[in-house]
Amino acid sequence: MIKIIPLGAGQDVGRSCILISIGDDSTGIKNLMFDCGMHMGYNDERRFPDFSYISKTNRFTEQLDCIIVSHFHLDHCGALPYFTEMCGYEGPIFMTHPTKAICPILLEDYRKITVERKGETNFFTSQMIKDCMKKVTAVNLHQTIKVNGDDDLEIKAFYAGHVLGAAMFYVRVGTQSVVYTGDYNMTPDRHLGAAWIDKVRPDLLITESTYATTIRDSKRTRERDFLKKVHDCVTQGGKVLIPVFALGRAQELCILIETYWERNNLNVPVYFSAGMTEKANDYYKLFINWTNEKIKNTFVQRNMFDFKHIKPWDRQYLDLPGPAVLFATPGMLHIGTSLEVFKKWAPYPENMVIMPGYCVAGTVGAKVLNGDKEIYIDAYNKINVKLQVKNLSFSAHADAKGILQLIKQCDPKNVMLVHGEKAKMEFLQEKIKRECRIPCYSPANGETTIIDTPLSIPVDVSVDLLKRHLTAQKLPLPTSDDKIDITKIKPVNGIPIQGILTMEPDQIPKLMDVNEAIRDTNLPLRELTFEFIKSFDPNKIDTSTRTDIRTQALENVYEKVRKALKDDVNEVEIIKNSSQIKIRSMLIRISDKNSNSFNISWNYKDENLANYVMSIIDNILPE
Amino acid sequence: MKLHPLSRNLRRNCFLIKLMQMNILIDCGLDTSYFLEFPPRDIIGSKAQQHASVSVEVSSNISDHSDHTSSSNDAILENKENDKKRRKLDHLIDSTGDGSGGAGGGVRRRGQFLVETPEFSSIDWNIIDFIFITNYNHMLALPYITEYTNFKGKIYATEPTVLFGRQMMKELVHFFGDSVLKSRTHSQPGSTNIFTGVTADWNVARSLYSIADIQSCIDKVRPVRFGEHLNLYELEVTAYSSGYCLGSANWMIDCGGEKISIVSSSSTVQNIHPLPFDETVLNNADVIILSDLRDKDGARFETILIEIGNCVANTLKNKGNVLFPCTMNGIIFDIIGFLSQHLRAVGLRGIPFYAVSPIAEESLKYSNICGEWMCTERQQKMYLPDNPMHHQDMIEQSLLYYASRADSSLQEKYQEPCVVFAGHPSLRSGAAINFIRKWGNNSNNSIIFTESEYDCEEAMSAFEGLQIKPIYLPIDIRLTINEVTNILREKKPQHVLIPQKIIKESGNIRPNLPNSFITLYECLDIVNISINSQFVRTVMTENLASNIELVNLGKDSLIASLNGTLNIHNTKTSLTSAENQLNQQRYVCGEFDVSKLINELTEQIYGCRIDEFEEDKRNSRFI
Repeated sequence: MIKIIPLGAGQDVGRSCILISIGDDSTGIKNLMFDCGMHMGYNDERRFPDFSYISKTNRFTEQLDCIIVSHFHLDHCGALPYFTEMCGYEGPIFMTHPTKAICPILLEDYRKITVERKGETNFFTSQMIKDCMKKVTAVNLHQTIKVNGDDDLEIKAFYAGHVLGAAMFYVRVGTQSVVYTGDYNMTPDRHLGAAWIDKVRPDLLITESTYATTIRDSKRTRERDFLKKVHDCVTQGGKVLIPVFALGRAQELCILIETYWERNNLNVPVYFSAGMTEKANDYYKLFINWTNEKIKNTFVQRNMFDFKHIKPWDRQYLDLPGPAVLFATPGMLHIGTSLEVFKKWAPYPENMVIMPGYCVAGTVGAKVLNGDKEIYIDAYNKINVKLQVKNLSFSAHADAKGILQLIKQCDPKNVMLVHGEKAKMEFLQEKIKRECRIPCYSPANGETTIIDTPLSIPVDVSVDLLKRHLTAQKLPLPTSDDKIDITKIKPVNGIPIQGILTMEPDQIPKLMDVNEAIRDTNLPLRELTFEFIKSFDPNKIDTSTRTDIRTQALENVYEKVRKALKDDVNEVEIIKNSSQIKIRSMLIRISDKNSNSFNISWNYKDENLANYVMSIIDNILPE
Repeated sequence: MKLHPLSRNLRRNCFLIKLMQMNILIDCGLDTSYFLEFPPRDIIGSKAQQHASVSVEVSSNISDHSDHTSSSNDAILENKENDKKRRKLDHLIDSTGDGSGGAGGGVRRRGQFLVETPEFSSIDWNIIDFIFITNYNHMLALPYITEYTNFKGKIYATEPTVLFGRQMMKELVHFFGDSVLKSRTHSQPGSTNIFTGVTADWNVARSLYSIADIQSCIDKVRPVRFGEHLNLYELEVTAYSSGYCLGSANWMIDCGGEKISIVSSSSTVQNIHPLPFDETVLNNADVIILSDLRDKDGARFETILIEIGNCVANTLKNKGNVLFPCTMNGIIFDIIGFLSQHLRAVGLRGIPFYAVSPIAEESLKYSNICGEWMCTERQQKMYLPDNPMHHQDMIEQSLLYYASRADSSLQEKYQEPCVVFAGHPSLRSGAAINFIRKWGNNSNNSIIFTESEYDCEEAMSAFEGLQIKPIYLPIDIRLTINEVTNILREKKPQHVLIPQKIIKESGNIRPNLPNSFITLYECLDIVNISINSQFVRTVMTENLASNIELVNLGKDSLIASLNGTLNIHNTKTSLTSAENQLNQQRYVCGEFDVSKLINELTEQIYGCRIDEFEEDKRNSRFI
């Protein structure tokens, strides 16, 4: 049984935090938390997940086996220092190396804005962020980690593509398993590869669904579109503001602009705000193994993250005349440089703002995208929006096609949608149920979902037995009149297997060949043969030709049994000659005496088969 | 399990392992120690290594010099045990020289260096399922297998092993490759005699493969990470860090609960750049195969490092230059980092370092992006983000320059006094020779040998009468047999396999490992180890389990006949309910009371059904 409660990201984007309980009697119940994010749309206590669901008495370490953080975006890791340092969780935390490296930078940035600019108190401190990160265990892709040294709780990361270091996590407890995708991207972009997961067949796949209803046109078209808009605006002397987050999309768009500027010999200045750009690019240089193959293979000759045309932004450029392109943080225009510049540039129609990502409801960015012409930043400040607003979906989230593709790739038994808007989720949910024929859930925050998982019992199978069954299985040979249909040839699956199961207390049951079992248990095997005389009424035999009545009866039996067995047990061989039929150990022969009867014998081991054949004979040969 | 060691050279692993009907090759090292038997390939003032014709000219230029070499060699080596081998090799070179050199009898064909592969002649490559590589020093013979045999299996190595392995191969071919082969494009397997050996009685000495072979070979290797469980049929195979160099691994092969550990070059030396030795590989191991152990105790690593630091500082203070003949990877990264700090500490600032090798740039740059494969201290630097490799800082501060060869590209930045790291450590090819010629006649200069692989005196013996000061400070960080046994004592493995040449007599080691069975192996031995891997773990569904009728055998032992379906998904097996119950086989075993049976039968009417027998379970058991 798997129990899931989203504390955040249930029918919502932001504040990702999903609790799951997984396990059975043999493994014990394990409790895990996927992501520990904050909500950009709130500035009160609602910005963090409601951890009291886990424990009313703050005994989080006892309650939780581990926290897994999928990537460094704040809506996935923003509440982590709060939870570890202020709520007191001290258990293990797992994330990839790049996430571990970049996460504290973004947390510190977020803290500075909240505490130093907004003047909030009772917030986590820089030291808390550092202490929190010390508790983090960094993992490599595909590395199998046994959490707390527990053989029954394993996690494994897969590449998710969304941002540098983003990962999907596979969790296995005993024979049950869950995959949590975090945010992912199924199409490679300028700097990252596409998400990939093995066919792990989890009991549950928890997937994001930001773009649940969108099917985007090709990446190339979007790129061309983006470059054209920027180019058109600057040739007409306008200023282009592109609000981005410092890490992620920013690098992709910078690579795009850089190559375009170089190819077209443009000299319109391009700036990048935020002091951490340099640093951000340094991360990309050190974690080049996490970018795509092309960048990795060419980095010795030319590092893609050494930009020639893109210069750091200075506030005094704000009032400079003439065209310019500015990448400014943050991406949702809710605070910081991007908002400051937006205020300045918004009243002029020759300027342009390009929103390349998703904006959480309630932020200035969301209002701009909504087409609002007057935006109140707070009670006193209003902006008149006259500049051109363009939205280009550059967010590295999977679209509906991508989500379905991932479902096919990992082949789950159930799907749960999180990290999306309710209405869109409902649409996708139906689509998944219809197209994939698997149950699909989309719970709201705080709502418990229980998924029954079939119990699996571990068994040790004898290698001899396994080998014998595997080699005995052949591909069905085409008969002479059949043409070989290539499409129908596939690997043999579902091989019938027989053996003896032995169970000792406190041991895993063993399945072996009967001879191995006899040897192990020291019990001599007895042969038990049954013989039976079946007489029948010759008048009731249906004879068309003038043959011997007994031969005809045998022929009738053969036909019926062959037909029945062909339908039911296709691998049983039936041998017939003039006076007898042989089916495995079962022998049906015409009695020696001149009576209308058959001698039927069989070994006890084919008891089930014999019973079945006998019932057929009784039917067609009435006494 | 069968172990078949194939390599004569203890520092170049190659084992064939037969396990559960699978054939596994561990490593395929290339023995290059014969390089010392050849005169240096002198490349002063020319690009001889690029052109076949030039190499002949060069050989005539230095012919008088090579006479020196051979006479002095004879004197030195009169009593050496490999004298016989050498003569054999001399004979071999003469014979090949006759055919292609065109320089007449008795004159060696210059420019063709021979290498020794493991003994491959007895291997049927068709049946080799897997190759596992432990580290890049043990994979240089791989192109012979992938490009010149019908090997169809899969090859696994860690990411850095693939990266650095390719570089090492490239360097080798640049330095010692046959110019004829270099121009040859990628060839079809079997189309050349490169693999069949040069002569029949010396079937392991070969000429080198080509550059094209390398890329094609490397493309066939699947990169893995530490702790990544590979499920390969009945085997689960995992690489663990061995602490020797970036990505160096020890492999654990788990077959049905029986664990076989392959311990290759490993190190427990502290404060070096690679991720430390992971003892997990030894936990619960049934068989431990030890290889590439250090054969003699030496000074501590830290002591040698300081000694090196002092030698370099003294030379530089005397306005001399320092040459390190080395390969551009492994421990040299630590030496560069240490020297830079040491020199600054003793007040020698701004001394330029030069790394001259065809792979210098690649190697220096790639190592810096392998932070995840480094020790915790360097990972911490990566998180900041700082360069985990100090040499990257030096490159950025223009304290370290790299060049592929000693030519004009180096000239621009060149200034003395300086420290040069140049290949090849055998002093038979590469830029190291240029610097020996350049600095050889000044006793203020030093040449410091840090590599333990090639005998320093023999390497220098090719250069007679030079003033340059040779300093022998070989660094060998591999585990010694005593260090290994100390670690193994607590692990209590059943079997330990040790190379004979390392310990001579097992009596020396037995008291240290009282709980283990010790086997000494030699090249071309066939070692049989019986391991009881008779069972494979799988799972059965609840549905199947609930239909099993268990019979009690007393003492809580239970037994049942099982009829199910065997499913295989992605090499993972599972048992589900049988589609047809008629296949079920039943057995009678144990004591059988015949008289009781007869009594029962007589009480029944004629035509009794078999079901009724089953009521009697007191004396015999129907399963």
